[in-house]
Amino acid sequence: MKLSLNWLKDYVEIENLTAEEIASKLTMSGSKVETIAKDGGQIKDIIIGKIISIKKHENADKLLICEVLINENETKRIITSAQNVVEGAFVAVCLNNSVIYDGMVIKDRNFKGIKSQGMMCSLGELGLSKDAFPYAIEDGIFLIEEECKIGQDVKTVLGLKDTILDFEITSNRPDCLSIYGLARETAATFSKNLKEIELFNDDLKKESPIKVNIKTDKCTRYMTVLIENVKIAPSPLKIRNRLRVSGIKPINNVVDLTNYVMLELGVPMHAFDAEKVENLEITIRNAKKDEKINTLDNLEHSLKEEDIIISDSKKPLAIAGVIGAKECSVTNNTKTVILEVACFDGETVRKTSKSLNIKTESALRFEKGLNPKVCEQTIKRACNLILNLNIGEINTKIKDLKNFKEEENLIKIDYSYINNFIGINLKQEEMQKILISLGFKVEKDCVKVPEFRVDIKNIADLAEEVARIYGYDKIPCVLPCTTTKNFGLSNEQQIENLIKNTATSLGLFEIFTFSFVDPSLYEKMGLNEEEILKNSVKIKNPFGKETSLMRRTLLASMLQTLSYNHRNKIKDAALFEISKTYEKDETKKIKEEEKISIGIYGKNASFFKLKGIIECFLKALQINDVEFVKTSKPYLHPFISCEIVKENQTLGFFGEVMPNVCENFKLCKKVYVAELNLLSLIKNSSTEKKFKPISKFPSIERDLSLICDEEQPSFEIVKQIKKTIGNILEKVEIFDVYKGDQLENFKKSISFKITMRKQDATLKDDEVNSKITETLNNLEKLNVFLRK
Amino acid sequence: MEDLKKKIEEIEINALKEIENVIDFKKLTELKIKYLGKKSELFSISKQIGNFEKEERKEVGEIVNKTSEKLKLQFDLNFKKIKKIELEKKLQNEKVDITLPGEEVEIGKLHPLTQILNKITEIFISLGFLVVKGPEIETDYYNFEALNIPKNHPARDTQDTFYVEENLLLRTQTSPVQIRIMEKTKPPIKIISPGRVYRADSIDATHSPVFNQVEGLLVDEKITMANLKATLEIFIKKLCNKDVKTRFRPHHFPFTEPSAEMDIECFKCGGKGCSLCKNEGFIEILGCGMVHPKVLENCNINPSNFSGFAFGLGLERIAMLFYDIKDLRLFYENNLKFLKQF
Repeated sequence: MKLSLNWLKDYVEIENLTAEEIASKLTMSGSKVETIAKDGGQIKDIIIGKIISIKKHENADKLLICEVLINENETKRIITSAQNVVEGAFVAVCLNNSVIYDGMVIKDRNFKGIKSQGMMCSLGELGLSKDAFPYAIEDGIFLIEEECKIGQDVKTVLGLKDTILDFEITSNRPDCLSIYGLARETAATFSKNLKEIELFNDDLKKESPIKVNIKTDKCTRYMTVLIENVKIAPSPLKIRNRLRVSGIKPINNVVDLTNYVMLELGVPMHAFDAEKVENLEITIRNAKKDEKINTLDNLEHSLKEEDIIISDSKKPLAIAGVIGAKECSVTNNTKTVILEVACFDGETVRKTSKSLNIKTESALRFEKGLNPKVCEQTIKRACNLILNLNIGEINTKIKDLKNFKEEENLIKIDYSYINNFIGINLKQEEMQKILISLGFKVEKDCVKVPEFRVDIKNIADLAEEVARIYGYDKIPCVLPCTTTKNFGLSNEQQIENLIKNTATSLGLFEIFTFSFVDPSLYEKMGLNEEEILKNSVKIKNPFGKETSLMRRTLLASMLQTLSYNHRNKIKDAALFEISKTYEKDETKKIKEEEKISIGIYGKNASFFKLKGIIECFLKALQINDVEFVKTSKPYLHPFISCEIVKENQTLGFFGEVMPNVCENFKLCKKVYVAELNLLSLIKNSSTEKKFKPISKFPSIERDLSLICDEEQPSFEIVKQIKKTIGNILEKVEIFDVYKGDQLENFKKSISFKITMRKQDATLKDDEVNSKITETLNNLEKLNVFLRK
Repeated sequence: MEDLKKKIEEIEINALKEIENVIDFKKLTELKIKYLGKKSELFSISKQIGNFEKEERKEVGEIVNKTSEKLKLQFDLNFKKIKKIELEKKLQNEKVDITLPGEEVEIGKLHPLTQILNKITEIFISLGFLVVKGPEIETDYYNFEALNIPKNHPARDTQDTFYVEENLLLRTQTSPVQIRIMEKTKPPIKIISPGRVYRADSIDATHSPVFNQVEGLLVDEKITMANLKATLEIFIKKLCNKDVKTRFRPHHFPFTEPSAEMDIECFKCGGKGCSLCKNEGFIEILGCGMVHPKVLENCNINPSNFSGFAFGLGLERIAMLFYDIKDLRLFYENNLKFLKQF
């Protein structure tokens, strides 16, 4: 919302305040100023001149030499290429060192041998457009038709001495989408008086000839007045300028009036050409299905039954609160005008405006909700201006149809509650003074909320009014004493942090990726789309394919991220993410599960590197006795991938990415990924730490080289060794795996180092030997033999 | 007798003279054997002591002992000297170019958003807040209705929502966690809740369909706006690690009343006005306010007995300010050249 300080001055005394002071104080009392702009920009020393003669430049066809009178007895020779100059016209003249709107300094300069003593300005050079000066052209010299005198400052003549504050108005304050609303805020903030608005005194006897029918409860009030003998003309410069700086294009005096009053009071208005309204009979009703209307923006719209329209007996005249029909708009030939000030249901206006995609200043104000009571002041203000500006005659009374219950909004006020709630200690009178300055009426233990404040409903709302005008900055800072039984991080959250810290200590970098997945990524991963989509959570209103699905695996994003880095010439990558996956179960219940994904490629990447990382996680979480079993995922190498299983529960899986998947993702050849289930890890983890005394007795080590089938998983041998040796086993390690010439075909040799120790005594050789023999015997059953 | 004394004296003088400048280990060892070994003159003299008269025996013994002690001392001294020299030589040989780079040890980093979140979380934990999380796929009721944003409320327009089903959506804010907690917990309540939120925005330098918020809520008897101000002020001072100037500016949120936005003085220009703060001198940091009485009622908490404050901040926004990041997309591209900088 743009606020002209000149306009503000009509209602509040601000002569002794700077624009910056006003902006910063209003920001702190709740009306946030985003920018401060000076009308006229950097214009300096541009004056009115009068062209007294024009002749052609001898050396250039397109240049004209103008003699311009700049005071009673001084002329300047100014050269221009613009062809629209005429003798006798008033122009804006820059002399040597004058500054135009955008800050450019104008100097005398030579044009083909003749010196130009300054410059005549176009609209653009003054920061203006045709909008406010419809009689001028944009690609030529601005020939000024306003009342002016030679030598006068151009800013005075064109009314460019204004400062405009641009406000961010929150959605609960439609009343501040108006000059008068902001004037009230200014007055309250600076403890100044708010001047009253000049209104029309309706003491006419003759009833209005306009007939109005309201056929919907979505129109709560309809006020209208007939303006006769209308003289359509451009609005006076002051009005045009005020509209211009407010961002509204001046059209003609009637349309400008409706916009002016809307800006001033925040209540939209509309004007119809009365001759185009059948029998001066107006009906406010729901649109018929597919009813057509041609609107002011030259578009034809097809309406729905929920839309509300203003119509006569034959046709729609306007879409209520949104936009008028072209056919009955005010034109240069209009003689009689029907002015409308009405109140329509905000929700309906919002829906219609949204579905037809028409955004107007009117709809913007209606959709936030207006109180029908504010209509009266608005139409009376409009009538007052009609007469003052000599636009037309008012001979009949204002018509007023009410379709609402006149209730007063009274709120019981408890002053000590407000003090306690905010944490201040204001006297009752001080609070009352604040409320009164904002238009509230104080009655005993109640306050009456002014009709323009649709947002005030309870004592907390009153507390805010008091607090913001008193000043949030004056509220003291007092720490609360609240303590609760439970605080800090939960066990799960602590474990999650432990995992994150373990990951980074292992050289992994954390990534954040979107929770969505593009279905084409599933295809690239070789997943069965139909199957995976069946239980996927789908977005009904996505922003393209990328946001159409909630992901069921983190690996699509992981592969995408690895690919992104690979394509950016990053040689080695080790990444992880902890985030959610989403899926529906059979009963359509949605499950959100936290997962960990890991992805590596580059120099040190290998299956066993990844396995080592995962084993570190397991160690950090004290998860023992897991098994790694074969798995089958379409995007993982069938022989270099596995699941992590603990007591028949899968904790996750990992492996080498299939070559074709790497290709699909434009990745290098060797890529390894893992996905682990965070909750399963947490459930199986232990944070308990108990010290086990360090044995003082020596250990005995034995190395065993064993021969077995190539296909024999080493893990089973380890399991057997552990089982047979039992509690004296301290450690079993594999230090070599050999396949080759010295062995039979399809055989391999695995070398183990077995460390044994007793907790409470020295281990004897006999014990060790018998354990080893027993182990070898047991291993023979697995077809595993000692290498000779 | 006198001759013997003279002889010992001679041995001493000769020996000391010979040892004095020997710094070779082998040679010194040989000399030690020569002068103090079993075949040395001194040793043979000491063996002859028994041949002397009783009074003289003592005297000769003392002289021999004194001399051999003196020699031993000199030998030790020289051996030490040799060791020292040898050590110096060894160290000298081990000389390296200490300006060569260190061996590369790759440790990973947490994502900058996690790092900021951890800082924020730590501060609130130290203030006694509980960290809770909630679902991202929410019902219309928790995301809007219970938060005083009924259907067709204009605030719903500004939060373009991704819908899963008619009444099921991707939460647009972390505030539904407030409701879930208040429904099942009696005050006092003191929580923060970080998490992902979603808006149907297309991605650009300052917008993203997915981003992160941290929500805070404190409900108890007699909670005031003064409590809100104090809590958030010490929070931001701790987060910035300095005494930043803050301001609370009235604002509007449907679920708080009074509502405010907290700004901090622009750390780039110190409040003078610059491009970062859009010439305002202050930067918006978070939204906050006193929990709306209707929201308390919706959770069966009586607003005449209890009051509370709530706040919410955007993690990306804070991280962008702290790390001087101009484009939000960087957080989700995960370029390692970006991630390694934090």
